[in-house]
Amino acid sequence: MDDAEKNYLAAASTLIDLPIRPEHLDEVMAAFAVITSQARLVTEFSLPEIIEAAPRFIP
Amino acid sequence: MMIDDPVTKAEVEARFAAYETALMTNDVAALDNFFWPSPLALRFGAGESLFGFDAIAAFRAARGGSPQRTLRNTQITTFGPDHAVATTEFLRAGEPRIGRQTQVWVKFPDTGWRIVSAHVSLVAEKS
Amino acid sequence: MNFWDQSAIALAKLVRSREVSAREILEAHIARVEKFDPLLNCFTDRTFARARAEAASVDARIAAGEDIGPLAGVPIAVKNLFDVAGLPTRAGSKIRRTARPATADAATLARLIRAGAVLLGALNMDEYAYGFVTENAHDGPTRNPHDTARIAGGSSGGSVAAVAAGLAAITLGSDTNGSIRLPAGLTGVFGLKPTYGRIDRTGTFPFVDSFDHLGPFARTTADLALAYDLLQGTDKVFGKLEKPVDPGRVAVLGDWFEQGAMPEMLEAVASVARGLGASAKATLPESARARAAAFCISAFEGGQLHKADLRARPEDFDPATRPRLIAGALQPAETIYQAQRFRAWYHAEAMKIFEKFDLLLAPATPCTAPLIGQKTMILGGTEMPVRPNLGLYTQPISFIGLPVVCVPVVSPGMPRGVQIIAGPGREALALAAAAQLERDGVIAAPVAKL
Repeated sequence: MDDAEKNYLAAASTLIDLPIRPEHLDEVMAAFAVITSQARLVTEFSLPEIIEAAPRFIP
Repeated sequence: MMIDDPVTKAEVEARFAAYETALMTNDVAALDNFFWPSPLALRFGAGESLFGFDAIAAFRAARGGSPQRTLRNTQITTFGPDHAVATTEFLRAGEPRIGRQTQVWVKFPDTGWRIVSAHVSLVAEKS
Repeated sequence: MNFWDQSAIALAKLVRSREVSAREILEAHIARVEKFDPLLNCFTDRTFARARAEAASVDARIAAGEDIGPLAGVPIAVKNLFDVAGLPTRAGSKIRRTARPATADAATLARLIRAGAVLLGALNMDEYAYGFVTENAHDGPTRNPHDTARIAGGSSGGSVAAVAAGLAAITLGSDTNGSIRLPAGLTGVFGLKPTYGRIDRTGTFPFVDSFDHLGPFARTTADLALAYDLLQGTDKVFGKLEKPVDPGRVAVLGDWFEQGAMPEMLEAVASVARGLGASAKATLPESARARAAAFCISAFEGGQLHKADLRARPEDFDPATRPRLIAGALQPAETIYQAQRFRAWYHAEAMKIFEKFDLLLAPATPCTAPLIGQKTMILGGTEMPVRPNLGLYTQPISFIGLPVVCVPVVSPGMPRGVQIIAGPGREALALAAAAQLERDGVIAAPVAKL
């Protein structure tokens, strides 16, 4: 895992108040690495601007 | 307090159905055993008001059977483990008026589920 | 006659005709649960007292001339994320064992009980539904009745194993990324994941609101269709199972849905295609990204749902779910937003395909059931972890809420499941296809030899 990811995890963990216990850090980082690689598949795909998020709010 | 606990509900449904079977077959001994053996038991019938178990039992013995009927819109609601209200509509052959029956059931520690109060009536004819 | 290998419809007929009492049928199932469940570990809660009261009620009401519903006396069970009145809804967790007991049955369960069914108990699952294996750290693994050294799949493992083993005629489960279809495929039973939003989720513990579905398992198409009709009131399919399938409008999904599949799984899909007279292929583009998007959204919504407990008592989680939930909750918003946009795009691509085809076919899993505790498997010549990859073919489909019937193909060795995928709202078409395949002997779900 690169430093950017490690730093992000630590910062996000603090920011949203979801602490990661030291004994869980390795496994969380491993899980986050998997998620990051999956996320890349999503964000690298260029969608037409017209596409809106799937969930629709109906007041 | 749990309303419509499944076990309680199933028990009362079974008793309600067994009462209906006894009524339609005029099994007088069985019918008596559905009522709470107490002077405080009560049955307001379509044509008579019966106060106390003895009056209810005497009525059954003398009745010679209840007209055959079909039930509809039966609703049984249980309150906690030992109380229930059962209501139903009924239709009798040759009787245009819709009948209604309400029973209050209580589960006694020694004698199980008994009807403590019942009310039967027919909807008044529209004039 | 062994009652535990009969269909629900056959059992209800025996009870309604008063040939056999509901009580006798129930006792046969209870005896079987007591005999085999210590090995299989399907049940986390047994509600035998309740089932006996319900069976007595069914028998008494039939004796009184009441018309009991189409599941009269049929023993059923539900995944333990369904509310069962009087039980804490554990949802596969340790944390929720001490939750306040449910005050009423889940809406779907109540519907089946109103139709005359009797409840045997609640069934094992992966913690909080976040798994494809049903190897639960707190409640133990559920074993595949066809080979008890192997997994039943997940997260509805207890639900499928109970049906496969003849412990219950119908069970209920949930599917977020594959948790109905995948375990149904691995244990050789029929499973239905209806269209997203079709079934009322009231009284069930959630996982990912964006993707959660509820659905039934059974050993015949007719039982599955009947259960589906009873679970919701708007789509009546039971009378439409004879409708012939147009072979020209059935296609096998290629590309992602064939990549890495073991040959026997592709054979199973080919059998189904042959059985329906189909020869066309279709491609759902960018399905790898669809799976990735579903993966990220699931981790995020699941993690956010459990955030308070993850903060307060992370040690009480299954070690298999904890890190994924924590990592999931910490994702950047961009991932989730773009994943939901991608979902709209992918859905539109799927709708183009459904202009040409009514039904699409794909394997339920890339392989047959792995061993309990197995960490890796070889797919397409590459070694990869078992747990996340079992759902490769189910995940893109539930991502866009399409209805799927998972059917057990008649074959040697361990069960092979095939997804029959229909357009939104077209459950009837998928069920009619299953009915046809079953009539022709291509698919079947006999009770496992135990």
